[in-house]
Amino acid sequence: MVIPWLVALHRSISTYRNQYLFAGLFLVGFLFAITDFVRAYAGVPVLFFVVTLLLSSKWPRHRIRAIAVVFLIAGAAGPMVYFGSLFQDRDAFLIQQDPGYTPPLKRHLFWHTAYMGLGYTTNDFGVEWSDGHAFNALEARAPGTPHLSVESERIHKQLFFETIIAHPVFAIMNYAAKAGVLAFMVILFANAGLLVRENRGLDPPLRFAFLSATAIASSYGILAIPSINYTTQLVAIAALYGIFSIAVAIPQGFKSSFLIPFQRRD
Amino acid sequence: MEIMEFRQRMIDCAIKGYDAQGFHFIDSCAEKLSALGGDDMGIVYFATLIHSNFGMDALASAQTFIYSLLAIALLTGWLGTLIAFREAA
Repeated sequence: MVIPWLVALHRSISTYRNQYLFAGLFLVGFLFAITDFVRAYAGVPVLFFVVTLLLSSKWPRHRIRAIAVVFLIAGAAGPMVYFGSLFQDRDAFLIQQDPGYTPPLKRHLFWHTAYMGLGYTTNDFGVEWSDGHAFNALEARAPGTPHLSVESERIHKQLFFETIIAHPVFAIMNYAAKAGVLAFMVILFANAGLLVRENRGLDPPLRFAFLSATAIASSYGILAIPSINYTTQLVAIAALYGIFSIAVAIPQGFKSSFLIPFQRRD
Repeated sequence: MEIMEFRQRMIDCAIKGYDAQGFHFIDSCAEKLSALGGDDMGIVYFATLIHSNFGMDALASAQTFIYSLLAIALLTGWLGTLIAFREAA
C-alpha cells in the first residue's frame, strides 16, 4: 500500500520537489501509526524502508533531510497520541471500578512467541508451535502464573534459553530451516527481479530500503514460524521489489539488464 | 477455542463493554469488568466504531472493516504503483 508511493517519492528527493515529499512523508507517518495499531508491529517494515531511504538518499541539503524526518514523525504522532489516550481512559476507568486492577502488557509477547517458535521443527523434548503448549509449560514451571503477564514473559525467556543451551544443534537446525523457507519465499516472489544486474536495476537507496524492510519482515518468520500468517509482509515486499526491478530494467534491454543463468558464452 | 473464534469473541465482548460503559477495550463478558489486550486492538477498535455508527453485529463490523481495509490497500497500492512507473519512465 505505502511502498509504491515511497518508490515514487524517491524521485521527489532526487528532483527536490519538496511539497510532494513532505506531504507524502506526513501521510506515510500517519498510515504507519494506523497500521501499527490495527495489527501490532505491522508498520515496522515500512518504517525501516522509509528511514533507510531517507538516510541513504542523496540530499541537496542536510537540513531538508531533518525536515523530512520531522514531517514523518508529525504524521505518526497524531494517531499514536489518540490511540494511547483510549487505553489511558480505559485504565483510569477500570482503576476507578477496581483499585486492584493492573493493566495488561501493552507490547507483543516476545518470549512466549520465541519459545513456541522452537517447535517449528519436530523434536524429542516436546516443544510445539501452539499457545496451548506454551501455557502448559508455564503452568508446569510456575503454577498459577497469569498468562500474558510480565512474569509469564520472564518464565518463557528462561524456558527458551534452557532449551537452546541444552540442545544447541537442534536450535541451529531449527533457525536454519526457517531461514531456508524464508529465502525460498523471497526467491519465489521477487523472482526475475533478483536477476537484474546491479547497474540496471533500482537506485542504490531504494535497494537498501527494500533490503532493510525484507530483513525486518523476515525476522517475524524467524522468531515465530515462516507460515503465511507471519510472512505476508515479506511476500508483498519481495513481490514489489521484483515488479519495480523488472520495470526499471526491461526498457534498458533484456539481455544487457538481466543475469541469465546457464547462458552459453560465445 | 479456535483462534478466529477467540478473536470474534473478543470483538463481541469489546462491543458489549463499549455499549455498557462507553470505553473502548473493556471486556464485559465476564462477571468482573476487565481489560482487553493483544495484537489486534485496532481491529477491535474499528469494529466497535462501525458497530456504534451503523448498528452492525460483531462479525459484520469486523468483516466490514477488514474488507474496507483490503479495498483501500488494493486501490492505493495500484495507484501508487502506476505513479511510481510514470515517475520512473
